[in-house]
This record gives sequence, C-alpha cells and structure tokens, in this order.
Amino acid sequence: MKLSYEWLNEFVDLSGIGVQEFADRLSLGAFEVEEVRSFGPDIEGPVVTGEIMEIMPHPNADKIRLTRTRVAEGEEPQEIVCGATNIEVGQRIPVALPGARVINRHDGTPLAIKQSKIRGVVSNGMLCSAPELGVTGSSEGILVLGADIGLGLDIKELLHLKKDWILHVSPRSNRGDALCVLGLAREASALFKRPLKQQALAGELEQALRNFAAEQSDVEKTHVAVSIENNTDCPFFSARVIHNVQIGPSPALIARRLEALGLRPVNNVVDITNYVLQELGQPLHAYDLALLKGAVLNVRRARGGESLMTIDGKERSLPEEALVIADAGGVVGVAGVMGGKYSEISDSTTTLALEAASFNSARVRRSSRLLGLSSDSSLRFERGVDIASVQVASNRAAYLIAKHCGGKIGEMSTAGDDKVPDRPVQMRLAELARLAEINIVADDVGVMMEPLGFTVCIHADDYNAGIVNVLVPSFRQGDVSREIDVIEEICRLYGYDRIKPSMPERTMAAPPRDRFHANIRNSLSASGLSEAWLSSLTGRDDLDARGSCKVADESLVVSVLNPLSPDHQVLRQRLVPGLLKAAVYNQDRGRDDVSLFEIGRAYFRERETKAPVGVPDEKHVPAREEIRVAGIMTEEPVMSIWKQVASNDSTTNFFHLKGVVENLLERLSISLDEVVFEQCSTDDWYHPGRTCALYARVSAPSVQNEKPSGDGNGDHRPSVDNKVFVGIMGEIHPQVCRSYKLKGRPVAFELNVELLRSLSRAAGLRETSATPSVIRDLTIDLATAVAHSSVHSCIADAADDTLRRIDLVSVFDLSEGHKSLSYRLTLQHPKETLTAEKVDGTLVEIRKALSEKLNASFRI
Amino acid sequence: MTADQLDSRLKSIRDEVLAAIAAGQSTDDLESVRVRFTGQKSELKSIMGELRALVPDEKRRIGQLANEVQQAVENALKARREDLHRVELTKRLQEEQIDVSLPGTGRRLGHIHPLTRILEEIIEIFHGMGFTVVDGPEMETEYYNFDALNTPTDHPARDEQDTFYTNAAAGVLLRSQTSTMQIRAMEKTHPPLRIIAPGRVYRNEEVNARKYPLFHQVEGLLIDRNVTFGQLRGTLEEFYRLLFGRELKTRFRPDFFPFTEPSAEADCQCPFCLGEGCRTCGHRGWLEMLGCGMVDPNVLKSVNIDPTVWSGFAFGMGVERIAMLKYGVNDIRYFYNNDLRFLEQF
Repeated sequence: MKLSYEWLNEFVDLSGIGVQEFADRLSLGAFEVEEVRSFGPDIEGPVVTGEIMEIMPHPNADKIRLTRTRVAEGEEPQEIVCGATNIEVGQRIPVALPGARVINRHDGTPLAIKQSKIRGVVSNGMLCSAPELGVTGSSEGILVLGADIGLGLDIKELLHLKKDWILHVSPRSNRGDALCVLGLAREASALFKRPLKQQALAGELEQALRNFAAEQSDVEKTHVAVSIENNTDCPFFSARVIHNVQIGPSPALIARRLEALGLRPVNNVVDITNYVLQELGQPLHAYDLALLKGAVLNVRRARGGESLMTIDGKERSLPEEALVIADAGGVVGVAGVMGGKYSEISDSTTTLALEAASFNSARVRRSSRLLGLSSDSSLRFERGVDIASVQVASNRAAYLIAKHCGGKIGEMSTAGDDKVPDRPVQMRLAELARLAEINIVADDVGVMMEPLGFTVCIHADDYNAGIVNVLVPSFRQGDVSREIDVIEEICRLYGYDRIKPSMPERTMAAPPRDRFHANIRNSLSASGLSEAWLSSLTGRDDLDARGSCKVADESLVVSVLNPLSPDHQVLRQRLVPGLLKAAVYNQDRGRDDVSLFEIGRAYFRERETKAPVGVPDEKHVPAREEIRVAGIMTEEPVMSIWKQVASNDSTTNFFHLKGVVENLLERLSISLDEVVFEQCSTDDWYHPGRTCALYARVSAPSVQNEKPSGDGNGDHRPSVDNKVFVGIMGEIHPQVCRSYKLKGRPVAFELNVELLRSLSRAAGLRETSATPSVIRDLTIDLATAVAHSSVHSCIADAADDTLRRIDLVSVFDLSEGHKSLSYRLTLQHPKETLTAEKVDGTLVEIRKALSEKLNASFRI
Repeated sequence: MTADQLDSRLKSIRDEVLAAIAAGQSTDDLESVRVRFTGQKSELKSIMGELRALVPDEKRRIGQLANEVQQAVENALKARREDLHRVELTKRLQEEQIDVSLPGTGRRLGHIHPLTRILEEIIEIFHGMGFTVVDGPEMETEYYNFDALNTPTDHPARDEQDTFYTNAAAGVLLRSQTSTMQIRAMEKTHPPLRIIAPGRVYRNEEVNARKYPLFHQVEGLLIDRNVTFGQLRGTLEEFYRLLFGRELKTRFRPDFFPFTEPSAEADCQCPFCLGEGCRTCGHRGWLEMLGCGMVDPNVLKSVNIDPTVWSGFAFGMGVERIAMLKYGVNDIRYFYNNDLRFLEQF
C-alpha cells in the first residue's frame, strides 16, 4: 500500500525523523518499504489568491489579453498578461507573483516568475492553471477558485499543496490491520516510542457526532433494514442513512491526500469513503438511497443467473459462490469487492446509505478470484479487517460527510455482532530466553507492546514466575493467539538486529554424500554432453511427439488442473522430448553439433488410487516419480573436425552414443555383463531398426570374459524372462524429427537411474594372472541377420575357462545376404602356460559350435 | 710378407680406413667400409692369417699392432656412426616439424549446468556443517504442503502461492515449496536432526525474466535441544561467508511464514560492493537471500515432536536466485533454454 508521511504524522508526531530513517526502521520492523518517492509541488515563493478586476485586449497581440488583477482588498490592481480564454472579471484565481516558482505545464520543469515584458507590455506575474501548481485538473485555462475565497491567501495552504513523501509499504500477508494510516501509525509509535494521537481524534469525532445527532430532530427517521443470511460469510453489517447531502468536489485536503496516493478524486462522498479506507483500513460503500428498492440491504450468496453492472461499467454474471449485497430488487453490490453502477452516488444524490461491514476474508477472496476483480476494498478484506473498527469507521465517514457535504446524520441499522473480547495470552519470559536468548523483565514487555494496542497485565503471583499476561486487541487477533506469537512480536520490537549470531552447540557429522548423480554427470560431460535442465511441465503435444506417436496409456498421464499456459499443463513421461526441443533451439541458433543430457524425473499416475494399508489418505500420492538420465547427440562432440575422416556412414552417431552409454555404465561400476542391449522396434519415438532396449539381468550374472576357473557354473545365464527394462537408446524416428523440425540423424538414450544404481557393484580386487596369454584371430562368414551378440555368446559358451576376451575387430558386408565378422580372442590359463595344442583344441570347439548353431563358415 | 712389411701395411690400412670412415656420409657408407676393411674377406683378416708365419717376438709385435688397428677402426666406426646418426636424426626431426597451432582433435568436454554447480556449492557447505542431504517427491498432498506446515485451509498463503493441483487425486498438488521435506524428514528421523533438501517446486506463474512456473529451492532444517534464533543467524552467516568467500554481515528482517515463528528474511551484505550499493543489490547494499525462522510449535506437534523439549530452525532459499546473483544472470529463462552458448560458459 501507499502511505503518505504527512498523513501519518497526523496520527503520530515523527518530527525530527527523516523519511529515509523512518523507512529503514519500518523495513526492519516487518513492513518492507519498497520505495520512497517525493510528492508535492515544487512551487515556492508568493503564489496567492487574487481577483481579476478588468480584462483588456493586449495592444500588440490577438491571442493573449491583459488583465488587471489585485491580490489584496483595496490594493491597486497589477497588470498581468494572460493567454487563457476562460477568465472573466470577478473570478478569484491563483496568482504567481514575481519571485515565485511554479511548474512549466508543458514539460514539468520549474518556471521562475519575474516581472517581464510580454510583447511590449510589462506583466507583473502569472495567473496559474492547475498543472502549473501541480494539482490535477484541466490544463486548458486558469484554475478558478470559489468566489468567497479571501484575497492574498497562500495557495499552498489553501490547496493543501504541502511537500510530502509517499512510501510504498508491503505489510506481511498476516497483517491486514496495518494496511492503513492508523495501523502503520501504531507501528511507528512502537518503533520510535512516540505517542499515538488517535485518542484525541476519536474524542473530536464523538463530540461531533453528538452535535450532529442533536440537530437531527427535524429529519425523518428513515432507516435501511439490514439482514445477513449467513453469519460466517458476514459477521457484522451496518448501514447508516445520511440526509441532505450535496454532492460536489472534495475539500482540498481530502482530494490532495487521495491524489498523493494515486487515487483519482471522484466526488466528496466517494472520496470520503476512500479516505476513511486509507485512514482506518475499513472499506465503506455509499449507495444512493433513492435508488435502493425497498430501503433494504441483505447480505447473501448470489443466486443462479444473477448479474450486476459494477461501478467500473462492466456487466458481470455472478457465480453462486460470490457474496453479494441485495436490495428488494436484486443485487446492488459484490460484498467487499465493488458496488453496483446503478445505485452509485451521482451529482443528483441527496440521501445516501453508508455501508460498513465485516466480510469473511476467504469469501471475499473467492468472489474476487471468481470475478477476476480486485479492489482496494477486496485487498483489505482478503487480509482481514478488524470487526471492532466497522462502526468507528462508519462514524468517522459520517462525521466527514456531515462536515464537508452538508449532510445530516441519520439512523444506523446493524445486523450481526461486532463485539470482540480481548483475548488473553500467557507468555513465559523463560520461553523467550530459550528460543531467542532475549532476557528482559516483565515490565519491558508492557513498554514494548502497549503502543501496538496490546494490554499487558502482570499479576503479582506471576511476576516471580516470569509469566506475563497479554491481552490481544481485536485487530491483532488474526495473527496473535499463542505464546509464540507474542514472542515473535517481542523479538521484532526488541530488534532482530540485536540477536547475536552463534553456532549450534552440538557437532554432528553427516554421512558421506551420495555421488551417484555426480558420477553420471562426470561421465557424460567427459563424453562431450553438456548438462541441460528441462521443464518437467510440458504441453500435451510432447506426450505424442506432436501427433507422430501414440500415447501409450492416457490414464497414466499426470496433468495440472489449473494450467496457466498450454505449454505447462502435463507432467512429462519422458525426458527426450525436452532434449529434442533444446536441440532444435540450438540448431535454430546455428549450432549443428548439439550434445545434451539431463538427470530428471518422469511422472506417472498410479492406476490404484487407494492408499496402502497403514498410510492415511492425506499422506498418499497415487502417482510415481522416476528419476531418469537421458541424452541426445546430433553429431559426435569433437573439438575440431579437421582430422576427421569424412564418412557417409549414417550409423556413426548410433555407435558413438552406444559407446557413451557403455562408458557411463563402466563409470557407474556396472559390469557390461550385467546388461543386455536388445534390438527394439516397438518404441515409436525411435527408428525401428536402429534402436535397442537395455535390460538388466536379474539373477547373479554369468561372467563371460572373466569366468572364474573351475567352478563350472558359468552358463547359468538368466532366461529372457529374468530381465528388467532399464531404458532405451537409438536413433530418433525420422517422423519425430520432422514434427520437431530437428535436422540430421540425432540419437538419444533414456535410462532409469534407480535401476542403474541397483546394478552398481562395489569395486573389488581380482587377482591378475602371471601366465602368458595367447591371441588368436577368427574370421567368420555368416548370414547378415545373425547378430554379433549371438556370435559373441556362442563363442563364450563354447569355449572353456581359458577364454579371457572376445574383441570384435572388423565387420564386412559380403554379397548375397552374408557378412564377415572378425574376432580377436585372448586365451589365458590362470596357472599354466597354454600349449598350442590346448589352444587349438579350444578353437576347434568354438568353430564347431559356430557352424552348428549359427551355420557359420570359416576362412583359414 | 716380412714383419716390417706387415707393420707398414697395417699402418697404411689403418690410415686408409680411418680416412674412409671420416669420408663416410651415411650409415650405409660406414657399413660398406666396415665390410671392406674388417670383414671376413678383408685384407686385415688375411694379415691376421699371415701372423702364424712369423717368429714369436714379431708375431706378438705385429699381432698387437693388428689388434690396435682393429680397435682403432671399430672406435672410429662407432664414433662416426654416432655422428652420422645425430645428423640424420636432426635432419629427420627438422623434416617432421608440424604446425602446432592446429587445433587439438580430442573429444570435446561437456559442461555442467550452472544450477548444478550452485547446488553443489550450497550442499557442500551445509554438508560440512553436518546436514544430511535428503530427497523427496514433487507430487505431494495438501497435508505435506500445507496442513502439516500450519497453514490453515482459508489462509491467504495457500492462494498467494498459486499452487498447481493435479488429476492424480483430490488434493494432490505439485509442491510449492521444499518445506514439505521438513515434515517428511521429521516423520522419519527423531531429533536431533539436520537435513537439507534440494528440489524442484512449482508455482502457477506466468513466465518472465524473474519467474518461471517451476524453480528450485534448498530447504534446511535443524532440530535439537536449546536451538536458538541466534544459532540460525550464526549458521546462515557461516553459509554466506563460505558461499561468497568472505566475511559478510547478515541482516534479519521480520517476515511471515505459517510454519516458522519468529520468521525472518535473512539478508546478506552485498558481496559485490560490500554494502556500498551497486547494480546487483539494487543500490541497497544488501541481498535478499532467503526466508527462515524458528520451527513453529504447531509443526513440531504435527510430527509428534515435543516443542517444550526440542526446538529448531528452518530456512529455504531459491537456487535460481542465488545462481543469478552469483553468476550475474539477469533472466531466469536462461537456465531452462539450454542454449549451448550459455551452458558452455560454465
């Protein structure tokens, strides 16, 4: 909210405290001051009221005239040149005399007034328009003042053109009581130890109301019948009749203070309701009583099909959850949000009904949200308005209306109850010391808290026990109800800056950090992939690759019920779409070699929504999050291509990325023997012929290359059923690339991190063998359809335990559906030196198995 | 031949060979010299054969001379071979010179995302102070996100945070704060406990330079006996010192969070201008770093921890915000565009 420093000073005398000092202290006292701005005219020197005595043509110009204007009764008028067309003899107007400084209405710069010749005629000053004085109003023509205003009066006093500071204050969300001048005056009073002047004002107000009431005898005793349908929505409602009101412009002080806060003055009555809102924090609304049907006001929920044109001129259909004010004819206002256009105050209003009420904050918030309409009023009701201040504010506004609009105060009718007893809270000084290390005595609590409206009582019995009883005033019962709330209040007033930093007493060692994700990052970044962070909220079109793929199971999709944009409405089920988009983003910016990875989550609804036994519903989320690592590569990430052998082979990317994945597994201490890469053509995001699924073997895996000698159980490889899907890698389907406008033949992978973690084995030393190893090369001719993995396992199975390594050396395509694979076999016996006969024997077995099982042939 | 003839012949062979060696211009030349003068069919070898015909005294004298000649030839050959080798190597090395300014051809290194880097720093600092890292779900119930955190049903905080609700089940939402992990940690571990919980949170907000519908927080929680507000301040002061690498003042400003009381915004003296005022701190001299406070007794009660015995503090910071401050990034969207020109700077 905006706060006028000048207005604040009316409630608490802050003289001697600079506005910046005040703002800084307020910021440290829970009310952040975001901005301090000076407000007020830069007018100086003699600018006074004057009267135009005579108007003559200018001898040397057509468009400007010469006036004779006096600034004191009986004084000789001065010649002043004026270009405005709205001047008439007898008008009282502001006159800037030589030596004054006003505002240049064209550009806002200072304009010094001196005696000067204008087209040959001496002008002894300047008649001023509104902008030249820094007040709102028409810039066409001179500002015409009331005819009964005295001459020679200081215009700054008359128009209340004082220098002011406007502070932009943002109170915390639980401090609705401080969204007004009075509320912040209480804070200022407590923080600066200056007395609050509110009491004096209240006395003046009551006296004035008594006076008006005494004069009321001849006025009709009309009243508005008020009723409340539901006391939870509206605990208290009041309407007061004010008769014989003359609608017109507001008095200068009120208009000026509203302008200072950026509010446009409307008319005296509306301005006064706004003024009291700013001053006391209580929203008010004035109806033209003549336009209310049946002189009744009822607070109720809107009914189906009802609508209202609000004051801002918009016709709004009212949801049934909205709380409204209705007369006998229908809705006349949205409770706590905005009044209706039809019954608003107009120039012809003479009798008004002034509404002051307390509405439930959640209800007002709901109405405001549903209607998409917020106002100064709803902002305050949402944060909570003090029910005990409703009548105070109504009285204050009535007093001001009677004073400034010529009104006579009539009857007030009320419904509901606005009595709030003070709430007692006990606070133990020992608890204050335990939590905040603040050691004060009971009397200090009173000194600190009473300026804020709390009453502090210390009973004799309690004094020694260190117990302080605090009575919480109605306007603070929203945020202070427990001992800890009082402790916070004391900490704040004591000053957070006085709390001494120290370290926790106990020393605790944390367990070593989990490095699994860090290892993934290290491996992939060493392979040339940069880390991306992607949005887990995506558009629906990322579920089906913009129509290129099927959504496997719509019922598993987690979607947001209240999305703000179509780009953020579902939780992703794959990481790869985000990587594709990041790749496109980079390609569009001229980068063809995009290599990215992400560690992130995929999200799935559970089919079973019921909470498992032992878990309360309120703690159960029927959805699952899976941590994944995914990567994309559009080209091999090399530092420089000048040494690259040009290749037209479109499979380079695939095998490069497969190497990256294999390196990753190795870095994570996962033996490549624990995983299987299997051809996979069922995932429609990937090329059906260039994609593999990665499976983990579930049982203890057999060791092909490092079979322990002699145990003989190396062949207990799990069957196809005993494997778990870990993830996928392959070339992105060309159709998907087309949908995303992705260039090239990108390859990608996506793996389940928690499954990888379960495969990770702690390192342990294996003894190295000292015997010499023997190398034999083996070239095999096969049908193209036979996979390397089949050949590999066939060799491994056929060999005895001396076979240590099988390395693929080359692959050649032969004619007529045949290919040739060359392998280098490394054989070694753990203890003995292998003889040529023994090695030959092993190779005979291998060849035999290959030709029997895979129909292979050999070249010698 | 007589002994004297042999003597002079040996000397002349020696001179001849030494001259030939000195004249040799390549290792090949030297090899042919060696074969010609010292090989099986060389004159030197045949002279050796003639020694048998001499009387013993002369045999010894000439034999010794022949050995000396042979030795001299071998030494000369070796020396000359070394010379020639050095010359030839020098020549080869000269010929093999390359343009070392050509770029390297290894595999390019990938870069680690700045949010990972800053998270690592934050976590490492708190880990050093005995905080254990915990992780938890992003899809949460209202219970963990609000109820257990002392946020009443109609409290404005529920609206202010503009939470995303999901179709998973009624009241299942995307957590709007990592404070959910306070509850989950306390449900699991009885005090004393110290945890930090980094994670992703969601708020229903329009994308702009400062806001993104998802971002990251690090939540911290310490529960023990005799935990005070001053210890919270000291812990955060230590964190700022280690994060920015210098002693910095802290400033606590009162704030409101439903789950802590007293609550504060813990500002840190701007490490870039040391409080003088600069662009980073908006000429305030202070950086708004995080929200914190003493754990509200209602929160402790919700997880059956006795607030008269235990007390604690909690804090939560925005990871993007700290990364933006520390790396001078002025638009949060940079973190999610994954523009390589941006990522490769980290």
